[in-house]
Amino acid sequence: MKRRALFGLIAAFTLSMVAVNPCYAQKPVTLRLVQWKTEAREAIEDIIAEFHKKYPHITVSMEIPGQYDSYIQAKAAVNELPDVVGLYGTGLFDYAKSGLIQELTGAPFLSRCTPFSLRATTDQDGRVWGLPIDGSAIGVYYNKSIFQKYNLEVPRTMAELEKVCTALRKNNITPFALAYKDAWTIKMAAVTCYDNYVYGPYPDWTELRDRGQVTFAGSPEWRQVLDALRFILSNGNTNTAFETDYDTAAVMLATGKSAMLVQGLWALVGIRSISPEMDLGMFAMQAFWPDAKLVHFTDLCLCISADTKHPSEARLFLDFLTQQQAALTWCRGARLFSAVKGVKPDFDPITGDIFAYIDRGDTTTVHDRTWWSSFNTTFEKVLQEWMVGSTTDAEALKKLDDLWDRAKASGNR
Amino acid sequence: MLSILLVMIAVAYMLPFAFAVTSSFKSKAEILLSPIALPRSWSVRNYVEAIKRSNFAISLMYSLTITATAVAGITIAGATAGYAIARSHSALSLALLSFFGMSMFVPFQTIMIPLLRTAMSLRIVGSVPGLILIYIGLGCPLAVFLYYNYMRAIPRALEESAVIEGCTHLQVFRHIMLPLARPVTGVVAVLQGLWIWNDFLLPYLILQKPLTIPLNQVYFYHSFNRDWNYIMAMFVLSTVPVILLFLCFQRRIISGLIAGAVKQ
Amino acid sequence: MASRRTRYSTLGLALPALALYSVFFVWPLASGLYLSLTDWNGLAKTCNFVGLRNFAELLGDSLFVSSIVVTLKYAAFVTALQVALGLILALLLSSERIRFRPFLTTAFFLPKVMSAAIISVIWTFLFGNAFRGALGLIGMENTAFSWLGDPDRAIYSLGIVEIWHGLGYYMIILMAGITAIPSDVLEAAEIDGAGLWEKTFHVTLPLLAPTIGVCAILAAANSLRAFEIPFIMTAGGPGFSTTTLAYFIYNTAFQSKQFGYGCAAALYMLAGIMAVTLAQLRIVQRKGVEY
Repeated sequence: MKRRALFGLIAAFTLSMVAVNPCYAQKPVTLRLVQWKTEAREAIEDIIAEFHKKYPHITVSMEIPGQYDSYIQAKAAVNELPDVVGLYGTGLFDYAKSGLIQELTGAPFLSRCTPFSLRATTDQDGRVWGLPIDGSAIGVYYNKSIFQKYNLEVPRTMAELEKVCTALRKNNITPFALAYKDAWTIKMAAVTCYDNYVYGPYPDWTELRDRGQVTFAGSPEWRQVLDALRFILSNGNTNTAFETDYDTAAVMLATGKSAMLVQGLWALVGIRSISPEMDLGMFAMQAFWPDAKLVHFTDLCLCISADTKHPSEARLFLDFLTQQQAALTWCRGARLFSAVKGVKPDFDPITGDIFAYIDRGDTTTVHDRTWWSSFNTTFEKVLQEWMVGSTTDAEALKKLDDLWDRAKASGNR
Repeated sequence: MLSILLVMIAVAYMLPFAFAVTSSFKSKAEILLSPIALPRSWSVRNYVEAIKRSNFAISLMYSLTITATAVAGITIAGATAGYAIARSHSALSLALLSFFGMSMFVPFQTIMIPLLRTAMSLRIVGSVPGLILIYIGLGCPLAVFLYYNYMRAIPRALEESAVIEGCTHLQVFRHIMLPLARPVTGVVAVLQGLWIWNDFLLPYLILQKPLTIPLNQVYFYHSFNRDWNYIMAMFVLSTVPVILLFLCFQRRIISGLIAGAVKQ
Repeated sequence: MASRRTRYSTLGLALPALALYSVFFVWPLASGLYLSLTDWNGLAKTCNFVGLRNFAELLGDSLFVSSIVVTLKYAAFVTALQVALGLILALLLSSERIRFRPFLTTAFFLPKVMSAAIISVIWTFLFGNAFRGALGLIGMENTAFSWLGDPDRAIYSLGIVEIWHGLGYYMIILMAGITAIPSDVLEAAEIDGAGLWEKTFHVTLPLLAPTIGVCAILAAANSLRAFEIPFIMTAGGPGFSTTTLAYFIYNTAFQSKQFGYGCAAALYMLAGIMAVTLAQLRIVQRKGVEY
């Protein structure tokens, strides 16, 4: 009788210990996290450190590999996708369709995200495949001090933009910092244009193109995009544009050699690391189209691999990321918006400008999400080829048409 | 004088190394802002960070292990096959020779994709031993040819007397032929060793982790931007051991490469 | 019979090489042949058989055709200069009149010991930032001259890197060839009154012809496969002006996820390289000089 009571007491004691401190009974777990934003490294590592303090038995190890896309593609092909993997745009839905990432619909932490950000990870059937992390914007950075010095205003028409560029050039400042060695930056410039001129009047342009009702070559809107890009190219460091890379262009803006830079919000970290106190603003490319909106979208999304051995720990991590404290750490470190509701984005003076657009509803989202993936990867190179003068406007647009048709035929959206 | 001119040209030839060294002590911003000036301060921060982030010590070990093991495997596989073909009289041997000869023309790109697929189905993607086996498979044809050529010329008298005394073929091979073929072994080691040590694409596709020196070099060369400061530090770290090794074994390496070229 | 047993047991020794070679080379080659007839996209579990469609489509693909042109331009430029400069250096460095020969030999050979990936990274920096920085010292940093940014020039800039990389190798081979020339032939020429020019042009070079041929074949075979240098230095750009055939294949397979298409292109590459190498062998054999 006494022995049984003793046994019961010990069992109760052990159980209560486990209940009170679940980690006591848990094996240490390592979660592998992979994403591509080098600018966000410190922010995420800070969050990881906080997470580890709360759950000592879980260690998150992050890697930021070079050649990101082919890296995770290769990993996926051999069922070795990391536990938590960063995905974006159409790629996210490609992986969802191939059954490589877990569905997260209904997870409680999703309710802490803004509906806007969730659109990036929700497919057409309403199923959610990842956790949105950031909010980003693509627009024209501009050096407010330089603008003030020469009495320049944010240009809202073509004439005003021309005036700004002329004034800058007269004072030996390169108007636009061009980083066109990295073809993806061409896409950034193109995005601010086509998301407005093409998808503004025709939000379903992609479907129209698939049905053959419109073409690149026959579209005056795309010609407008080319004209705009041509203007930007001739008002920047034209001679060195194709050997200047993303980092060098950020340096040009930061040191005042150049006054404007068409880029996404993620470039802020690099610029601030050189000029922390610089007075920076951002505007949408209204000069070419008065109703132009600022491109605002969710870039980084974290997904859980379908084959992960630690699904519950991975979900714990995602849940932690949606806590206010983690979201604030993210904002301050990565200098990007957070997808979490109610987080005040005052991590940088530039957010004032961006928020002005968001408040007025003057934002548009990125539309290459609907494009065929093999078209996506070659689009910017065709533009780059056009920019160096190897093809005419008509030839470049025709090339885009051919590319689109071939991408459609091979069926990978 | 012509000699002086040549020396000046040779020094200019080494300019890339000089740049890498001076840049490796600068911060990323400094590299971009003043690319050709001497560093403001000779801080080793880049080296420390690069070593930490890219697991340099581990990758050095991996590169050494992979290269040494694969070269050993190529030598053994090539020598055994070369001996076998050299000593057999059947039509089979000629067929085998042409079979191995196929690989001389085929560029890596042609088999790259299906090789990756084969590796996937054998489940050796990401595995270092798997990579070594692939290197042996791809690298042995050259060794087979070199050993075949050399052993064909060795008179059979030596082996025949050994067989009469009761040795098996394996013993004959190990104790007589292999030692005699030492010059070929040297050539094979240098040619294939240099290729494997510096190879980029195959480990990139198979390992997918920066586990070898060339892969580490590209580790900081991201899809969207480059960490020049770490790249430069890595460059210096990666090339110093190779240069030292080279200077020590210069003569052997050069003669090995020449012999290999001439045989082709 | 003893001889048959010996025959087979010795062939048994070839098994390790045969096995690994078949698994990792022959099988992929065969399966590449098969894959080129499908539309596999690299991710899906199944794919469709499409016959020769990939091969036909490639011929009409302007990117494929331009990648061949780019590769040929690159290979011709690199081969010609590597052999020519290698020859000049070899002649100079074999002459007793030049001093510091060990140092010079090492210096020119050193780049060969490094991997293409590593030197590509450094040269990207040199052609871009360092070059502009140097020009900046004389206030000319905005000049339109661009090594890597000019679509007509970029492929030749890449060629310069390849030449820098491999020059020492061919120089060494040619130096070995020069030392192999028997001295009595040269002495005979001297006795006949030949000066330095005549000795070089009428004796050394003709005897060196087979070696020069070998160098040309090696250099061509190597440069026709150019991948790392365009991959790292320009990502095939600007536009497509430095997209070599090898890079095109990599892109088609791993970026555009068209594996079947990429395999077909790779088979065209094999055919092309075989054709070029065989043609070169023909020329070398025909022009071989006996003395």
